[in-house]
Amino acid sequence: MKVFSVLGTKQTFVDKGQAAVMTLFFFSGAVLKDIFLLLVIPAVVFTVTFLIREKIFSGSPDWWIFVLRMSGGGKIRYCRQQRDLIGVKNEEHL
Amino acid sequence: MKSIFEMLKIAAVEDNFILTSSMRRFSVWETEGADCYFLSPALQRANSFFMREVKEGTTVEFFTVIRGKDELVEERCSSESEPVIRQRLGFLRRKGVKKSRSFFVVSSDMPKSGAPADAPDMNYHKNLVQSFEMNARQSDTSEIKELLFELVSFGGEMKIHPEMSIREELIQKQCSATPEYFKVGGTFCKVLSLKFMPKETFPFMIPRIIDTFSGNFSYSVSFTVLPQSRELLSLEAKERFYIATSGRGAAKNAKETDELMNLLTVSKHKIGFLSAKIVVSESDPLLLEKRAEEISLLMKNGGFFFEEETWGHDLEFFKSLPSLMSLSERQIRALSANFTDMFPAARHGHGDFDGRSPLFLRNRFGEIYGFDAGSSKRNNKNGSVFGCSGSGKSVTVNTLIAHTFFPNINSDKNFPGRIFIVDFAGAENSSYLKMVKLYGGVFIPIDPSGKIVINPFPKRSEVCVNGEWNSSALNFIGTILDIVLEIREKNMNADLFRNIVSKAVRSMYAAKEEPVLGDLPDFVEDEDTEKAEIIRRLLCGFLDDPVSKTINGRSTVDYGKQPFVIYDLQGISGLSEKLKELLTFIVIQEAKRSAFEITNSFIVFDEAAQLIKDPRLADLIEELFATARKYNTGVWTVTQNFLSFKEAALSSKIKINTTTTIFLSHANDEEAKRVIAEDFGLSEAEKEAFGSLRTVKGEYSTALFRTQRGAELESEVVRIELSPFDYAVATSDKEENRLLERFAGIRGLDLIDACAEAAMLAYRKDLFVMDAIKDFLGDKI
Repeated sequence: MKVFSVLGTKQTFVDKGQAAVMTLFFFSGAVLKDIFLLLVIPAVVFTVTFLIREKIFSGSPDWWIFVLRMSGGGKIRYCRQQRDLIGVKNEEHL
Repeated sequence: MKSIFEMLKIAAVEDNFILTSSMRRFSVWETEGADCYFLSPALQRANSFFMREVKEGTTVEFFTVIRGKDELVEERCSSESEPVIRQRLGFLRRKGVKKSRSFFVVSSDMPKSGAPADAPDMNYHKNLVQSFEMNARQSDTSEIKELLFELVSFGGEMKIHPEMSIREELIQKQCSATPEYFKVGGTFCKVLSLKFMPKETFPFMIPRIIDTFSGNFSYSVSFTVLPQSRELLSLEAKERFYIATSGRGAAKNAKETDELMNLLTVSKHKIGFLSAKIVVSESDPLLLEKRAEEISLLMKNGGFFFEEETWGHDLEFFKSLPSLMSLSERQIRALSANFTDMFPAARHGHGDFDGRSPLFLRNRFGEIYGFDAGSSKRNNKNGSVFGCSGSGKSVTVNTLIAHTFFPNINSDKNFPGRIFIVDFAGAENSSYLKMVKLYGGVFIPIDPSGKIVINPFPKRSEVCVNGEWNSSALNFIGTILDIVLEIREKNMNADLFRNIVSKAVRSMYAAKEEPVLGDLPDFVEDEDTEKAEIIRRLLCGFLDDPVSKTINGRSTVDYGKQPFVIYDLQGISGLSEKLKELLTFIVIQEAKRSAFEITNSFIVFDEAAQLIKDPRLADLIEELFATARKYNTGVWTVTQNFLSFKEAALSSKIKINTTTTIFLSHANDEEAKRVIAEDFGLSEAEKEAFGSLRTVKGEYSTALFRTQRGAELESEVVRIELSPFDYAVATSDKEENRLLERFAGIRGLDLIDACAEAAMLAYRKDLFVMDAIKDFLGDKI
């Protein structure tokens, strides 16, 4: 069966990273009553992060995680000490 | 420090389902896969299911998990008491035995925030899985947990505490991540995600790529059916966009979109998100790099571009697990037919790997394969071995004898069986004499000297019981006398002679308890005195010939309690064709009589079958093949020259009465290969496999095993690799055996212990076993 590349791939318009930064500026603008912070900066943030995501991270919506990791560097060590509270129907099992 | 548990989006594993954090229930089905190498399984039913019955929002995942260790082999190795089998398993373990398991994972639930209220539609799940027409069995809760534990924690023992959540149960090793890998306990792993697909997919293309890869990895592919109306609208919008845009790329895209929309209108294939991942794992990071690169290259050769998730191995690792693949952002839109083509599970042959006394081998994929000559799963224990000179035929047969025939005849210590071999090689060249020296046996040279006598006449009690004549026994005697007296025609005159002979035989049995051929002339009497006289004179003429001494007299063959008996017929090679055939036939009947008497035996004809040209004799020998099962006996033929074997009257009878055929390399004998392929009705795939068989002396040979279980025929290409001990036991090379005997003599050991010691030397010095012996012997060679 032929593979139809026109079908494309899954794309995310606004990812969590973008949303988080835009929200921060949005609320800052709301609190400080600065229209620039409220509207313009979020739009700029969206555009810049969109371009970063598409051009540098090939559209990966986890790009912001990679940015944090690249700037943090080193090994990530996971902890298994915390209790896992999954909060679903079998809560009675906990 | 981050908590690892939140990365695993599984809420529970219960009621035989995986429940994800988005409240989707996934059922898990373990499958054997389909034999895409020797058969041509089609996926039409599966494609048809996707076209007509699949619901939007359904997610289907395929998983294949390959590990470089087989638990069954490990268990068998530690529990096996038979030392020959144990050493063989140890040898194969050191070589590396792969284990492959395949699964379907299905959900028809949509993501929700609360727990699902309705019961899952199990019929739908079952129908979807069954549409692939492969044996599949739903896994229960404990099996699902075991699978997830294997995938998440890479094995080990799963110890749980009642207060643990499912995620705590599954993630029991320390985890850490670097840009280059994700580490779980002592295992390093890399995740590769599919980035580009080939231009075209076809069924079972993935097994043909990954089955040859050696290493620990898992391959997974998932498909989530999208809302079709929205996808079609999107396609229409794209088509309009491409048409409106100028440029070469736009025109090409517009054409492709139009082609796709036409296809969807006609065929109803579904559009969905397809995601594929490979997780490679090793205990050494350098080896991990190498393996990841190898598999990436293999997939690229097949047209699939998988790229490493650098900086994000840990993130994608938890999106490569069963039920979680749809969470990955690495999704490609594809058709359901592309997805079914990417099914990774090919069924590989394993033979009787779980048998009581199998010869353990590895199939061409590196997985365990067993051949148990005494398996009751086949209709009979008969088999054939075909291989040209130098293909390793003698070594293969000796290995079969040592590993599976011999343990089988000794399965009942109180009533052991025997292995009878009918051979033409002579004491100097017999490749079976070694077995006699190793395990004890009797070598019986048949020649015209009369030193060995085999009486073809059974005792009276076998021919006449309570006044009733055994017609089968009389038929047998009649056929022998026909050949002796040269009564070949089928006409009235010939029948008159036969009647006189038959009457004489009965009279002889009436008078004698254990008659011999020499007694017969005295009982030849008839009203037609002329014919009777002719028969008497012919009989006396034959009895005067020295060659008759071999069949005139009481049997002098004494097997004792030896497990091996070799009848060697080299001594009759100078005789006429008629006598050669007669003596071969009588020897075969003697072997049959003895084998059936003690039961649980094997009879091996090495080239002997080809001497049987007379159709009457062939009919009688066919009875041996057809009835051996009743006496728990297996009959094997070993043939080097297939073209002359085919001319023998027995060949077609052997074919229909054997359930195992082993083909070894036929090197450059294209004519033999063509005739064999035609004669045995080999499929195209089997022909190709047969044509590619090869032998590397001292190292390995590849063989095509074809075994019949009921109506099912299993074909598999296996590697016959011998450990130092196996080689020392099985070699038929005269010079090598001389060195072995010299070694045994100097060390003061019997031959079997000498083989074991030579093997130890070979392991210690890391040499080929014969080189280790030569090294030890030095100038004493």
